[in-house]
Amino acid sequence: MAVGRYMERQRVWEWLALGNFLLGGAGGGLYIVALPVQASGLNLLSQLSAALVVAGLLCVMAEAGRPSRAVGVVRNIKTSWMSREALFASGFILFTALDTLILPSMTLKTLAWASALGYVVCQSFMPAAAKKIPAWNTPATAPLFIALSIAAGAGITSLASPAANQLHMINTALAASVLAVGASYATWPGATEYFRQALKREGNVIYLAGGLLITALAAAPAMLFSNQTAGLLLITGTSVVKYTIIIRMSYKLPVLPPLEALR
Amino acid sequence: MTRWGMAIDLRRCIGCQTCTIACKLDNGTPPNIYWRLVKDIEIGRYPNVKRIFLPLQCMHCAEPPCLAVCPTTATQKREDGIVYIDYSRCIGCGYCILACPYDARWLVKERRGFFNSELTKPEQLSPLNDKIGVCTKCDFCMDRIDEGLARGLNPGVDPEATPVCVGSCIAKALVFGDLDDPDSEVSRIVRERPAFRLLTEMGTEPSIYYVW
Repeated sequence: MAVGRYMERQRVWEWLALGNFLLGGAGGGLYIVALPVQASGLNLLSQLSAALVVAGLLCVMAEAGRPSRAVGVVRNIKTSWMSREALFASGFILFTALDTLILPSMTLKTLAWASALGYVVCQSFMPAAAKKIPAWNTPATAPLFIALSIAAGAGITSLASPAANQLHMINTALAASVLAVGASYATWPGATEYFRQALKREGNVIYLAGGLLITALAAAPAMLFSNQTAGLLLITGTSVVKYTIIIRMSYKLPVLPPLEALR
Repeated sequence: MTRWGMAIDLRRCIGCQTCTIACKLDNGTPPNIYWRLVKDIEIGRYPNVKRIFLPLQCMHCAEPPCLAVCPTTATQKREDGIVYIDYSRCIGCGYCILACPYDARWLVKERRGFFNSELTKPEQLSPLNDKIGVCTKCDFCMDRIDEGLARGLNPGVDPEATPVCVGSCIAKALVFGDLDDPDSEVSRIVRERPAFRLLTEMGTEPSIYYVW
């Protein structure tokens, strides 16, 4: 069926939404990685992580039509990934603030880490629930976004604390995960014609492959790249992939009747 | 149990957009916002091509994806199947627009008139005037239905208790009624004519049937 002419991009979640996925995702990912590797300047990195999550939330608020009602966003924890994202983000900001500014403790750090993980997971499931966008509504979207966010966090950790424990190994594992999940996203067997169209159109496949390739370079042997260079590659590559999916591939599912029903 | 629904006869629809205009007039929707509209589409590939007029609106799904994603519970579903928005709760995040496969939700970004910055008298009276920054959509004219029922009228039979688009259709292509009542006209049409629903693969269970 010639569906291409009916495909147009959504105009609801654009650059500010991408800002949330990039900043918030990297912020959550930063804490997830920085705490276990005991990055130097952990206190400062924790605050940076919380600041990035706040920046992501501010992006969402700026995009919303009635930001003054934002407090109501946690009303639907039962089914809405956005509610869950907001709840975990609030918990993460609260625990991090308490830990870094008032009462440093391992319990608060653990709670903040669990909240950061919950935040990244819930944020990653948000686009997957958008049935209108074939490139988002796939089973591989959430795993891919989780891997991208944590990899971006590892990238920031590598830039800020290149000598942290096991960082090269973590970067390699995350880069390989992004590559593997990204490849399965692009080639998943259940892909509809609309997903394939979104991937093919306007060079999107090149952007996606490019982003995955840049990320994968971070897995190169340590003798080729320093941890800081690997960090830069991770941040750049994961951002290109998120940009490609959220902005470039966000074509709407056309509403067309089944041709066989009209015979 | 009542479940309001609609049957749309694609063989009768002539694409005149009278229902579109009736809906805009009755609900006072601003420019570029269409709670319902009739699309002129061509599907298939030569030589197996069809051109049809396809009226689209909120499908009042039994499993509405917009309801599941709404973070504020502004989107609600009534017992009679009508999906509506509690505008006092909506934050205008737009998530529901991306969850709805049918393009049936619209974000009102600004207070805008059809002619210039000054709103005309009818525009000033629009119930949507204070609904800026929120998502909006067709609610099956639930106020008309509720008021009609309170007056003992029969939605789908009595025009005052029936969605305004149905009453305006010059070709009688739209039939509204209770899908759970086997004796209603809408149930009869869906039962007796070849009928389909849109994008059923999404698991939404729409309450709008198209007959051909």
